[in-house]
Amino acid sequence: MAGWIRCGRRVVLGALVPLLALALAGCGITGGEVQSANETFADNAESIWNLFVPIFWLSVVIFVLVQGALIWAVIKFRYRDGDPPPPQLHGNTKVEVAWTIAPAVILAIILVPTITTIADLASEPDEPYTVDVIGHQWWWEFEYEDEGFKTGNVLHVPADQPIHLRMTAADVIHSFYAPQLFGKQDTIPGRTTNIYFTPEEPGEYYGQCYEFCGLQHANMMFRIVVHEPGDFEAWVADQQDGAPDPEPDTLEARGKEVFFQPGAACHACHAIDGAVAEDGTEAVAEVGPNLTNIGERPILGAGALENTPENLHDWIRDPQESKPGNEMPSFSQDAISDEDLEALVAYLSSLQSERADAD
Amino acid sequence: MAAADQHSGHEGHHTTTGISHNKLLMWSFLASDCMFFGSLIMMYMVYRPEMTDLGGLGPNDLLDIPFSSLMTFVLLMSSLAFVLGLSSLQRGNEAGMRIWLTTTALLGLLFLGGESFEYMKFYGEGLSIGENIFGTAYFVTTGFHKIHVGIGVIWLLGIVAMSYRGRVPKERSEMVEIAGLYWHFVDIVWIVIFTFIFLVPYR
Amino acid sequence: MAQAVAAREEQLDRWAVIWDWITTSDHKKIGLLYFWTSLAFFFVGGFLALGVRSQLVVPNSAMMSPEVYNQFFTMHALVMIFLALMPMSAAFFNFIIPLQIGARDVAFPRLNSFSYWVYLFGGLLLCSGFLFGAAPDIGWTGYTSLSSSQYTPGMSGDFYVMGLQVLGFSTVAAGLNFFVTIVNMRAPGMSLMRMPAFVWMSLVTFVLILLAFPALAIALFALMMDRNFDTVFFSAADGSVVMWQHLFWIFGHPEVYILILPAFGIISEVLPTFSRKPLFGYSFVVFSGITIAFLGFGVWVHHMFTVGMGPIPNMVFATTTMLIAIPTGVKILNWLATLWGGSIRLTTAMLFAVAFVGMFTIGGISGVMHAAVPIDYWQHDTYFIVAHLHYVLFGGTMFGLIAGIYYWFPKMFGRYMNEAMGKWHFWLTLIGFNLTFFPMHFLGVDGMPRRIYTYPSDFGWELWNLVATIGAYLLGFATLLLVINLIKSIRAGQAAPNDPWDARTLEWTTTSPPQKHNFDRTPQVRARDDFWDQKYNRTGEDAEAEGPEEHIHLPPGSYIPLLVAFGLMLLGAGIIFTLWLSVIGGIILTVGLFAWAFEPND
Ligand code: HEA
Ligand code: HEA
Ligand code: HEC
Ligand code: CUA
Ligand SMILES: [Cu+2]
Repeated sequence: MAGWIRCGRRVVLGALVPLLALALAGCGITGGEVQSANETFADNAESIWNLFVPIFWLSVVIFVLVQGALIWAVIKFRYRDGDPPPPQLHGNTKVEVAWTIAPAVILAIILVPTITTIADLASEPDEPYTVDVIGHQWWWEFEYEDEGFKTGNVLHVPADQPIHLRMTAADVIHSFYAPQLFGKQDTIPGRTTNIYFTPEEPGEYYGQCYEFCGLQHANMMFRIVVHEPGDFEAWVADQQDGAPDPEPDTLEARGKEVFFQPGAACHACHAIDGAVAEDGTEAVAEVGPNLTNIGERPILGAGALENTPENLHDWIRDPQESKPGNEMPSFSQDAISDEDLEALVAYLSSLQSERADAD
Repeated sequence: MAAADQHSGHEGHHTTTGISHNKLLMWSFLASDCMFFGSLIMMYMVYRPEMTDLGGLGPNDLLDIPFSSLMTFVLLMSSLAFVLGLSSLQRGNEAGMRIWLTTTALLGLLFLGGESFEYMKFYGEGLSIGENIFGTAYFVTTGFHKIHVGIGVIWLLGIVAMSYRGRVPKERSEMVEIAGLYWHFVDIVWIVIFTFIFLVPYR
Repeated sequence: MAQAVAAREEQLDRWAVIWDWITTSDHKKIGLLYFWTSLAFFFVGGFLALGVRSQLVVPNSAMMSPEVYNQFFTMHALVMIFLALMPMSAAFFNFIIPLQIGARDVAFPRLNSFSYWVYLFGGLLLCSGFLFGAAPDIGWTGYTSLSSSQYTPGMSGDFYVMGLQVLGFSTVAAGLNFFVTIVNMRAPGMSLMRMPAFVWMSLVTFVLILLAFPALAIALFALMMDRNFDTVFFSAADGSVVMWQHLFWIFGHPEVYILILPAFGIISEVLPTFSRKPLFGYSFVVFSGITIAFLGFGVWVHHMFTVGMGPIPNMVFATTTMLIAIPTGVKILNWLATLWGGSIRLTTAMLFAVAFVGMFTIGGISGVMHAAVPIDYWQHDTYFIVAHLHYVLFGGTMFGLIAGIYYWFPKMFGRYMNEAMGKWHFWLTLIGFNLTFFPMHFLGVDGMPRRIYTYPSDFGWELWNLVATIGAYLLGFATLLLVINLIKSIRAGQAAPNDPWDARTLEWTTTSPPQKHNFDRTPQVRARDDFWDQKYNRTGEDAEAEGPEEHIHLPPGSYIPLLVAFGLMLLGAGIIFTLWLSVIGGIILTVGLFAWAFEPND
């Protein structure tokens, strides 16, 4: 008999050590990041995490029992040269019935809170504040139907108020998920899905699309800004007022002209509420995100870039550079000269609601 | 292929269950085919509620139940003819078998003809395969069934042809029996399709 | 002059050998064809995985464009599942099942060779997308409406649809063939409850194949019609976008059990052999396998918890999904009990089998977490899922298959594999595997979505991605050891006797490698683990375990299955390229089928 008999128990133990180390390291290091599920700031995400914790510990117990028994058996019942065949035990019905029932019991224990939590998350709260969410390749549209305005990629909601996200998609399936606030639901063309949650703490939260939706699935992020209740109303009022019109003869005013001029024709795809060109053209198109408050968004291109004037410049010049394959064309020097672009960037950056820097 | 791969199905070869390989192959194939049609019909049933209001091109406007009932009857009769053919062969009457199996095949062809007529009629009214969900689901579901019937017809005629050359004696009646399993199955599938696509009212 | 003649003869000889392999209908040769082909595809899949890992090693990586990345991870999954793991199981079905049930061959040898060729051609068709820069890039799940011609125009979607459609024929043909083989060709005395556990688990697999693949065929057919012939099955306006998911997962969940059950079977052979004890609770293992298959058809919605079907369906499918953990748990515990009180020899095969139990349990437990619906609202489509699926697919299926390789290698090639190198392979694989996939749980907790080609640097995902990538390369290196070991051992391994492991089942009673006709005399089975029984329990007259000598009949080879398979592939390829190809393929197929039907083969 060959070398396969020799293989010390050291080595077997050696298998567990790295795993355990890895697990411990993991416990220490995960969490606290922008999209971690274990720090929660709304009831919805919290009930998910609260369901997870006991299941996790049960799992740890099962894990330790199984791996422990496995390693123990392998060490204890090793073959030594000359051992006779062990007793040929074929089974033991009692034992087997017992360990059919045991997992069943554990699962029943898991199932009860699972079911109540499902029901909980699906039930519509009283008088929720409703926002429509529409997934596009590859950006998010948020419609405040009652208030009559839209915004893109950054969702604003009030704290301590049940929110109802009424969601669908314009092209392919996406999935809307901000881990610290709520569990995900897909957004599906031709269907409506719902998320209910009550944000508990004002702040800015991260989220992104979680259902593979093509080339730029990776850059389909969004932010959720949770306002103090009072602030939220002010923000809404601001949005309803539309974009501020730039003072005449400023760079921004020039930028607004560029927005409508034939080479750029941004209004062919984008809306800016309240912006009217000299010839009376309005910017109301809905191919791309509504830009009414673009200056106050933290991100550009649904997270492809941070929103800074330089990045905005680069984005308009060549959106395909930072987000290859997205639906917005590039604008060469011929279409928009460097000066015009500077003006355009200045204009867009100025599109902020008055209270934007209150947060 | 079923009847074709006869390597171990030949007479006298011992099998564990006593059922020949070929026959078992056909049974298991039919089980699989059940799921095939099952998926199709399930899909149809899910789309069904959306078929009531399709602007003049829905099932309520197009389906002609008396005509399809007639076709159903034709197909059922073909199964009967088949049974008579098989029992002829089992009694050693090869000529009788040929007559009945030809009849079966002809009834199958009649069914295909009738169904094709219906296709043309629907198409003439404007229902193309891409027109709406009824067109899509109807043509594809019944189309698959027609392909099955077509294969069956070719198979039956093949048996008749072989029989003329004396290659389907009484002792090899199992070969016909297996074709019969297939034929009856296709027939039963039609009954299900007929019930769920044609008979149950669209509301 | 004489030299030239000799050289020519040698060449002729070589052609004869190749022709023999092409036309073979011997289950052992077909098994080897499956084995080497699937191993090659495993490398393709692994190469693609290394591409994926290399792209993700740092944030904002510009190594790959999103197109290429999407093609890589999609093809990685398709190649691994359909071209590497399933066919490697098929290699063992082919080589081992007839031997284990004491048969001379499978029920339909030519159908068997047909299955192999369709697999090869279908696999090449699927992969040839890379040649046209149009490999599928829609995820292995191919969700509509992303996969519709509107959002995935061009050939890439067609490669997905037609590649899988063609491969489906191979799988179903094999499923039919082996189902009949097991039911009908067992040696005298081998009642159902005396069948080796591997045969049992395989039988369940074939039933699953026969019942699950039609749903995929319909889904693919409908998608093909939508993409190429303007039907509206999956259109949001007329049909339903979600219908695809139902059809796909009605197939897809049984599919994951199709992948794992053969490995369960292998483990159930390896653990008893190297514990020198029978499988503990054989009948529980068998019936739990059947239960898994049965329940497997009732849980598909657990992949769709987030599509918003409402609380009631989610509750129902959470329940059924959790139910399925019970029979699986029973198996795990029975394997543990098999080890318990045994006399354990830690060969490489045994190490992989033991590790299988441990690693699969981790994957199973994370599966149960997903089954708790609200947790899935979090974990769905994060790296937590990626961790789960690799723990069950690699830590489960792949570990099982590798155990099978080490275990049956002496039977297949007549030589031992090198155990020292095997040990290295095992430990590097175990460490590399956990290093690659365990951190993905943490990435899941930190909310990293799957299927993203890039990620920002401030989300806290760098460290674990780096670790995973290092692990993946380690795993790749370990896999190279396997191949080196295989090649070296085939060339110069220590010769193996008929029964190198003191094993328990019939395949070990014949020569290593088995002679052409498998058994001189049909074995006569008197017990479960008949061979062990022969060796240790029977004496004198009783030990005479073999039946009477029989006329040995071996089917001749045939090239027709290859022809038909080729026609079928062309038929599919026509949908991708130009319909003329389909016509040619259809003609070849029809002519081939007729030739098949009338080819004398006795
Ligand atoms: C070999 C393949 C395989 C196997 C065997 C399994 C087994 C299981 N899987 Fe897995 N699964 C996949 C392959 C597999 N899965 C793949 C590929 C995907 C992703 C598809 C994609 O989207 O690309 C997936 C995704 C997936 C999802 C969807 C996740 C999502 O996308 O949101 C879910 C949800 O419920 C799930 C659940 C389970 C469960 C409950 C089991 C159970 O069968 C596991 C049972 C086993 C155990 C539980 C361990 C042993 C038991 C004990 C030791 C007893 C005691 C235990 C308890 C009481 C808990 N799986
Ligand atoms: C079926 C089994 C299977 C197997 C065995 C594997 C094996 C591996 N998988 Fe795979 N994987 C899937 C099935 C499988 N995977 C599925 C179903 C998905 C989901 C896809 C989807 O979302 O659609 C997926 C997705 C997936 C992802 C997520 C991609 C994403 O969501 O963006 C990742 C990322 O790390 C990954 C990595 C790996 C790695 C590192 C291995 C390693 O284990 C591979 C190890 C093997 C090798 C490394 C090959 C051998 C060695 C060489 C090639 C030699 C090296 C040579 C040179 C360098 C010259 N896989
Ligand atoms: C063909 C349509 C089209 C035209 C023309 C177009 N855009 Fe866009 N734009 C889009 C789309 C689509 C997006 C969303 C891209 C993404 O994130 O995937 C977008 C995104 C943007 C964004 C980022 C918005 C956000 O919230 O992240 C800005 C800013 C922008 N466009 C400005 C412009 C300007 C300025 C012009 C004119 C010079 C312009 N666009 C012309 C379609 C267009
Ligand atoms: Cu939208 Cu992913
Ligand atoms: Cu599943």
